[in-house]
Amino acid sequence: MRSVAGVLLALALNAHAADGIEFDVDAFDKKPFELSGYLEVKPEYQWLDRDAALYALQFPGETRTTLARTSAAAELSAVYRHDDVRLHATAHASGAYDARDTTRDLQFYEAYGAWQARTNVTVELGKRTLRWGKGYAWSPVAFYERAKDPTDPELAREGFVLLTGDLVRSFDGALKTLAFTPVLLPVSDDVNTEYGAGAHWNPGAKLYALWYDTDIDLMVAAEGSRGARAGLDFSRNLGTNLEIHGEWARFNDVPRTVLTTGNKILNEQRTVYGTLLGLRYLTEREATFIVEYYRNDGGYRADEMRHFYDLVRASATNPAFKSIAAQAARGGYTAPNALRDYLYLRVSQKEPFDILYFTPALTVMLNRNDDSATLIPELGYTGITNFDVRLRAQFNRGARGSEFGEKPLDARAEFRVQYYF
Amino acid sequence: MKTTIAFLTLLISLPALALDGAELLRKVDRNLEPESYEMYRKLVNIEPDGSKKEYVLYTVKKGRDKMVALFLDPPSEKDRATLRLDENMWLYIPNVGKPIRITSLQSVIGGVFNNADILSLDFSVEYNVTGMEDTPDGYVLQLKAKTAAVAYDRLTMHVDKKLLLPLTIEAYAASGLLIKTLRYSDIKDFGGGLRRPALLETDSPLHQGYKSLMLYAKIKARDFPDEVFTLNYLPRAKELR
Repeated sequence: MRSVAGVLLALALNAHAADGIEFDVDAFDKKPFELSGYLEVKPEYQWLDRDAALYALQFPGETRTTLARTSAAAELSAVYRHDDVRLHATAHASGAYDARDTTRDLQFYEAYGAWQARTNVTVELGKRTLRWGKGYAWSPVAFYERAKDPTDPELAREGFVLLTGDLVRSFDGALKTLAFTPVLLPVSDDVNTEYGAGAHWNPGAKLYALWYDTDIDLMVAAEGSRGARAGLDFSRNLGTNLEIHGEWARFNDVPRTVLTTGNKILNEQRTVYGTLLGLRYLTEREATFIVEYYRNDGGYRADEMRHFYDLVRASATNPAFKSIAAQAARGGYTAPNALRDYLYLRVSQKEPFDILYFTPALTVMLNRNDDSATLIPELGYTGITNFDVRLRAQFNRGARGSEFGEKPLDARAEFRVQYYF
Repeated sequence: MKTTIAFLTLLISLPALALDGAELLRKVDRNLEPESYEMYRKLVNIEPDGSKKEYVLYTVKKGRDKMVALFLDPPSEKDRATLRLDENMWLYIPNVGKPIRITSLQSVIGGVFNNADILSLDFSVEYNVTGMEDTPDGYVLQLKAKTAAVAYDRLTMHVDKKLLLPLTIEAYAASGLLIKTLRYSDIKDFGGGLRRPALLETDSPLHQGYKSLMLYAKIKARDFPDEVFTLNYLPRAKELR
């Protein structure tokens, strides 16, 4: 009886009611085991450009001009805590269906253990997603990551198996924080094969400082499965509504597949640089502008890309070119943002016309080398508890011989609903 | 001559007035929260049709200018965290996987709450006292933001004389426009000598019919290592609880 009274007293102390709203704060106590995740459904409709060079590569022998696709995904994250040790796992299952194909995939995006030795010392081992860099659409200094999709940069991505950790110190004065993050990313015949070839430990490190209210990172990755790399990034607020960020990286021995004038495949290696400069600006009416310029020295020139598109077109009537075109495509000619200079602009308006939880946005990515572009308008709504709803379109525009002008996709409309639990 | 004496008297009394007001504001701050603490809050947006959206936040603060706020609920916002270190602010979104530097006026969630509600420091850290009035109903403090980074340019704070706790705060833009009225109520004993309002209601003439509530629970004095307030620790903020 006494314990019942105790429970009632505890409830009375920790639960408040206002306007019929209860706050049972004990329900939010940290638990040893937690599960969370989301379910997603995404129907989409594509309008195809049969005259585009890459249509022949992606839809060989077909004449369709539209394609309806439905995809679904489920992501489940679990964490188990015991003293200073935590075990994390995130599984991602996805499937897509259209008139041409049905695909299914199941991956562990993350599965790692973390030991919090002290507040300022952490060690992590397992499949882990690292995120280096300050760029929103691109990050040249993301040495240990899978490439991000600049048309949807906030999508979760699969990690690599690695050993990493953090050693952090805080100070008073101009230097407020210093953090050291070493990384070992082993590659063998069975582990991290997508990262690179050979058997290597691929060590690297990042040094972070908050110095004079500026975030600064210096990072290196030693030669191994990929060439040696070094880079830096920074981020700083220039005012209460303006932020500037940038990245620079040097990549040694980057392999590059080039089509020669005689339509032969040439594999070369060279040192290249990647540079990014960006701004984030908030207007008084709460419109956010993100502007980024990305320079990728390792990309193709516009004339090199036109040569590739000509070859792909020629392969439609000359079968001898087909395997060379396919080889070039695999070698990098059809990779996202395969040219050198890009501009990115995203404008999002928080809750226009006083519509709560509603955010329309427009994203434009411009290829400065051939003046082609992709435009992505979208409408987002988060007003229904635990649901995230997004209506989105994409339009690829450009002349023949340009990157976005030769995409097989002319336009696309998608409706995505995510339910979180 | 009389005018000169009156003027000199006023000049001499001004610093004393400012000091009293500043001292009162510091007392109000300490009566609301310990200087370093942890606490839980439920934020509720209520729309004119009565529909509600609720968020639960866990907040830790150290000293004058170090703060972390972590979303515990709803699941769509879970583990989203913000860090404030002096005038620097970062937002961590689990899917993005890294903290992003944000400007101090950037909203971290939708709805009528803004950063000033979620990451507010002590009043005495963000505001100067420009005037104090002793009325039969209580003290009235006039506050002016120290920098442009503070969301509300001026505040008029009505303070309970006996408890030295705020009762009502009117928040104004630099133009003089009333942006919000905040009303504290439901004074409760949180333990550890802390007796303060457990409910904060906010309405705005700019959003007629909309109301927001903030319910407080488990406010406790707690000290944290400085390293908790770093970008590296932000993704692990949920482990502090």
